[in-house]
Amino acid sequence: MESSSCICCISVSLKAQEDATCVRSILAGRSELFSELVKRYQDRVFAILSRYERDRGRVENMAQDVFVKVWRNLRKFDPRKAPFENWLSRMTTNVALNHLRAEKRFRNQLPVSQLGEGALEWLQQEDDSSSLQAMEAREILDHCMADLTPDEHLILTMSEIEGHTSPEISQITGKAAGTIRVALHRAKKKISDNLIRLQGSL
Amino acid sequence: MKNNETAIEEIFRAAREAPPVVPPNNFADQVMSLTMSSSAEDGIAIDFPLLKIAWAASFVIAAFLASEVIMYASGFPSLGRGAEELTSAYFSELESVVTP
Repeated sequence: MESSSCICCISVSLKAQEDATCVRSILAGRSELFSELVKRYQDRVFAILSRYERDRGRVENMAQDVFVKVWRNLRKFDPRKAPFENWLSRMTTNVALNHLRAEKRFRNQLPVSQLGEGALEWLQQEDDSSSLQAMEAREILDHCMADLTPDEHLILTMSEIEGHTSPEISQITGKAAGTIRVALHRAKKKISDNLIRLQGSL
Repeated sequence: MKNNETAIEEIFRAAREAPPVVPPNNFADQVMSLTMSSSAEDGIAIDFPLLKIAWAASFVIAAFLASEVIMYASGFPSLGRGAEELTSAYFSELESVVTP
C-alpha cells in the first residue's frame, strides 16, 4: 500500500516537472507547445466546468476562456508554489465562479415547471430507496441551488459533487478554511429548506 | 414525503454520476487560434481597468453633484458653500496677520 502511494507521488511529481518544463519552453518562444498542454488538460477542465453548467456550448466557451486566461498569465505561473495542474484548477474555478455570478443576475428562483417529468415523479415518490438519474438530479439541484450565493454554490459543488475536502477547497479558492465551513453549512441548510419547500409545493 | 437527508444524499450521488461535456476533437486548435489572436489584442485588454476607473470617477462626480443639489434645495450648507466660508474665514484671518 505504502509503495503504491509512493509510486503515485513520484508519477505526480514527474508530471508536474514535465508541465513546468513545457511552460518554460512555451515562454522561451515555442508557443506551439501550448497545444500539448491544452490536449493534456482539456478533459479535466471540461469535467470541472460541467459541474457548474449543463449547456454544452457554454461549457465549451468557458473552457476556451480558461485556456486563453492561462495563456495570458503563463508568466505568472510559478512551479515552486504549486504544480501546473493546481494552478489550472484554480483558474478554472475562477471562471466557473464568474459564470455563477453572471448567471445569478438572471435567476433567483426557478419555476417548478422547469423540472422534467422524471424529476417530478421521483420527488413525489414516498419511497426513500428509489434511485434518481444523473440528469434529473442536476435539474433538482439547479432548482434547489437557485438562491445560493455564487460562493456557496461553488463551495457546495466542490465539496459534495467534486469530492474535495475543506482544506483542498481553501487551497483552490484562496478562502479561509473557516469561511469554507460556514458557507458549506449555510448552503446545505438552504438546499435542505428548498427541497422541503419544493416537495411541499408538488 | 421523502426523508430529506436521504433525498439530498441521493441527489448528490446521482449528480456525481452525470457525464461531463466532452471536448470537441479540434478544441486545442480552437484555443490556439484564440491565443494567437489574443497576443495581438493585449493592448485592448488594458483598456478594461481604465474603463472601470472612468466609471467609478463619473459615479463619484455624479454623487457629489446630486448631494450638492439636494443639500441646496433643503437649505443645508452645501459642500461648495462650506468650502467658500472656510476659505473666506482663512483669508480674513490671514489678512489680519499680514496687516496688523
